[in-house]
Amino acid sequence: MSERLTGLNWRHVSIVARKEFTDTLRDRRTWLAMVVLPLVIVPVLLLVAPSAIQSQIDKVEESVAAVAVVGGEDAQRFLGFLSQVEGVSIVQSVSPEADLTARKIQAVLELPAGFDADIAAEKAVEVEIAYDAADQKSASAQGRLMEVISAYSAIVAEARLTSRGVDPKLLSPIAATSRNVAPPAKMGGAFLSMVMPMMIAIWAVTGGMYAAIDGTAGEKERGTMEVLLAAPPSRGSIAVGKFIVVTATSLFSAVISVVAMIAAFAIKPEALAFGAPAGSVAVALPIGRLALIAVASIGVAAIFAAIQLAVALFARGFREAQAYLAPLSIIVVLPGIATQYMPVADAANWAFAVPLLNAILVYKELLEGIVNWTHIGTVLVSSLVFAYLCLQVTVALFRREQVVFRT
Amino acid sequence: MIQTDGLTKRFAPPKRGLPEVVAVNNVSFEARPGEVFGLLGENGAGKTTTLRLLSTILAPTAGTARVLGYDIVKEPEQVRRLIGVVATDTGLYDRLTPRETLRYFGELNDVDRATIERRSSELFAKLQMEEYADRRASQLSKGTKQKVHVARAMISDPPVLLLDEPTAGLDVTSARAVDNFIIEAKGLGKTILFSSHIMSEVEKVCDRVAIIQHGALIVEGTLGELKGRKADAKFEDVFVRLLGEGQR
Repeated sequence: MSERLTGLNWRHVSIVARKEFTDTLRDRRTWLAMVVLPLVIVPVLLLVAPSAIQSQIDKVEESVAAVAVVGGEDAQRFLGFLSQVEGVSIVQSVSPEADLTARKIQAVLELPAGFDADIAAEKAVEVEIAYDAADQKSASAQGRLMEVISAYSAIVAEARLTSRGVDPKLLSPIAATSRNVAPPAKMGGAFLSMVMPMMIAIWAVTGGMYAAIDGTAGEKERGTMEVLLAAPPSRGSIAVGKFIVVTATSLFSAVISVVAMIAAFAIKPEALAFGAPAGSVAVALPIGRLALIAVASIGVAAIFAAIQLAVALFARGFREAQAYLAPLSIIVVLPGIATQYMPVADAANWAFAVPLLNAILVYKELLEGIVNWTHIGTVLVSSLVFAYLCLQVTVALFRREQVVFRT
Repeated sequence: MIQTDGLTKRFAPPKRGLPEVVAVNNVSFEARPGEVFGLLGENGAGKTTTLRLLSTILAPTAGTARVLGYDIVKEPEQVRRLIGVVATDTGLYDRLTPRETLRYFGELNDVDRATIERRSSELFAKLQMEEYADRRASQLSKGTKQKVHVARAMISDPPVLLLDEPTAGLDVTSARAVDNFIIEAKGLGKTILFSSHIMSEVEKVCDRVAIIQHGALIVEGTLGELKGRKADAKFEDVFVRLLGEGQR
């Protein structure tokens, strides 16, 4: 019963593929999944979401922290210093802990009795900051108070040294500054390699999902499968024709997502990296490397096209197929997450033979400016071999009555 | 010519512990060129499974059949080149027009482009559906869709037609157009296997019939033979009587 893919009638394959292309391109859902979603979701994820997070952080940073002081009756000098600090406001509170828990104030600063006197007597003084770590604003207030106390402590230390005729600079013998030698394009590549591989993988899966479902479970649900199978082409020719279209749709979607990402970052390169100074990050991907990313994606698209066709063929109808395929979009993200912060140079050689993982690694290399032909070749060969095996399973399922007539 | 020889199809039990389902049980008959052979039976009798076995989309568990001499088990691809199928409860590709559907199936049957275009126009004219030929299937009425199925089955001008309730759910006018079309195809020397529930239609188009009950063929003959001495009897009554005898 097994049908080898070598016995295909390529004329039939091309007829099926042409029809599937026409049908797919007339399907709004495919366009939505293949083009519209990556064009909308990618910029939203990459530009709008980080901006929204940044603006939330800014809001917290800019807010004035209300701080209740417990004790401190004899800490006038320190409190005078504290009251001049921007972003901190000393407030009165009858029950500070309760107010802190109720988020009416952001921190409670407890000062020991005789604070100013102990400082003057050059004794060690301990203060306590109570805050609510579950509250962003309170956590920010704690940080601010730590800085204020540290600054006051430095002033006191400096005064003590000066009174003894010692130069305070003696305490900081080394002054270090840092200089980033990575040009903006390299910075851009490094950040892109963290987010982009995952995105490409996601769209290489979701872009062709509707085409895969429509050509299998959809054919069953509509009742077109039976007459198609009663036509002369072998099941292998039919399966391969559909496989070509799903692969192409997935690949196209992946390319669109790359274009959307590059465009989004070209508009706002700082969105790539939180806190990076303007002008320090730039996106510069030569067309050659972009083309190699597309080439490396062929295998990924092919693997998932075959898997999706097989799974969706098993389903009784459109909805069931969607339910079966939904976990794929999560699975596909895993290698991306696992390697997100991993320097690609640390990747073991075997990792380049593992389908999907190897493509993610090669994307990272290409985005960081490394063109390793051995890796690219390994990715293509291993992915296509794996896709071929998956396609064999798909063809075998097309030949199983229990699967094709599972309605 | 269609010859079935002990054709049998058993399906795995729907649930564990239940017996397997014998959908077609040792069925043998012969349908000849230039004849409409009716395959009759109640719902679930095994008509559709028999037609699916003949169209090679299901494989028999035992027995076999020959379509113009080609074995459905050993030479399924050759068999599929010789048949036109109208299956029950089938749909159309909603985003394709009837013309595109005919082109697709014509090409799958290795018919050249010019012939496909010519035959499509002829079929649309005969089935009185020219004005719908370039509308997407999603916009067509049930009757027009059914006509598209018939036209699709005929696009390769196959010598054998397997028609499973081709007029189910059609209004009188559409059903008559399809019936006339079948009679015309018979006149062209095609072998036609026809299943239907409508006995008046069976009387109109069938030359010989076989009645299937619980997967087994219980009787076969011309309409006249089955009616016996009561030549003016309604065939519906004859059908019910024969089914009753089959139960005993």
